[in-house]
Amino acid sequence: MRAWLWISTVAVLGCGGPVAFQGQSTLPVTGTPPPAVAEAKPPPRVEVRDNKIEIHDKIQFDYDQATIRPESSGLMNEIASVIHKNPQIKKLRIEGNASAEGSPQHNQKLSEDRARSVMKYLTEHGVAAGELVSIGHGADRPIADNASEAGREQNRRVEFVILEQDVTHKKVEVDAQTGVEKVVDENHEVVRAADADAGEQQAGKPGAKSPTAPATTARKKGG
Amino acid sequence: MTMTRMSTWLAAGVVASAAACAGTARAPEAYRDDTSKLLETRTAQLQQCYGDALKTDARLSGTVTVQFVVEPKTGAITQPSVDHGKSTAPPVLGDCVVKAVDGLTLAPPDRHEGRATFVYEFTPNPAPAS
Repeated sequence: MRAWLWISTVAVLGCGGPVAFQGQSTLPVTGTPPPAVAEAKPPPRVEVRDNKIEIHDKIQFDYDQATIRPESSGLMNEIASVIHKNPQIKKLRIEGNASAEGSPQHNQKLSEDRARSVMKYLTEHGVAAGELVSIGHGADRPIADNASEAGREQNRRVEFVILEQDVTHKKVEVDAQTGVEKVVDENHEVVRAADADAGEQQAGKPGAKSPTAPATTARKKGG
Repeated sequence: MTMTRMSTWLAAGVVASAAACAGTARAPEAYRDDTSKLLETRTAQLQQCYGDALKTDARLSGTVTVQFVVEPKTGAITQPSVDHGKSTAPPVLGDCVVKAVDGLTLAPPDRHEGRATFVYEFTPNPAPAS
């Protein structure tokens, strides 16, 4: 027994111990991350659509006043920016609308004042006064039911109607072989809205009255 | 113990030793290089594991220092473990390495046990455009 132990010891010692070693250099591993998901752009709050500048937000005014609230400054600046970026717009009508809450006279006045207030803001932010007119419709043009507060809130709004804009018509031929487009005919025309001459107030003439505006200046809560 | 008897036992010891030490005996550099080549066979698996990890965090990167034993006679890689003190990558990448190297077998096996240390470096490619 002792003999076999001795033989094993000789065998192990003769074979040597473990070999320690390290990699000569780092082993590179690369990986491809998943495609970066492009951040979804929020839909524009302000966009030109046919004969309108649509705002998917609301200009906020002080209660029963024509003062634009500070939180709407961003939206107002965006509207000014869109007008600047669309030089084809030659004339724009700012239309104030009120809910049926309150007297018709008061709502008429409030809607005119608010439209005028928006017009003033835009002219103070670089929009040419000659391009803007304003008008108040009072509660005459509801888009929702005035019986509910939600409906009345929808009815209190300001809209932007393009009265005149340059339109360019192009006739293009596409080369069947190269796919290159070639303009063979181009002409411009000024498109005017059918009611472009409806009663309105010109920017820079605050004293002007809408023909539909009542003579009274009595202020009651409403709009 | 007589002289004759002692000679007999010594001879038996030499024979036993020779039997125990049979097989390839690599120099340390050759042991390292052969093991390194063996590890490279799992590169694709590592890249797959890394790619999966990048899905949860596209910025994962760093080094993983792994230690393991190469069994004598069988060549099997066993006891893989991450040396966290010498690694900068998050544990999930250490797991990738351990899974990748475990079960590999060096062929031909070496008569000596190998005690290996390797360092992996994980680097993300630029994210492809969506």
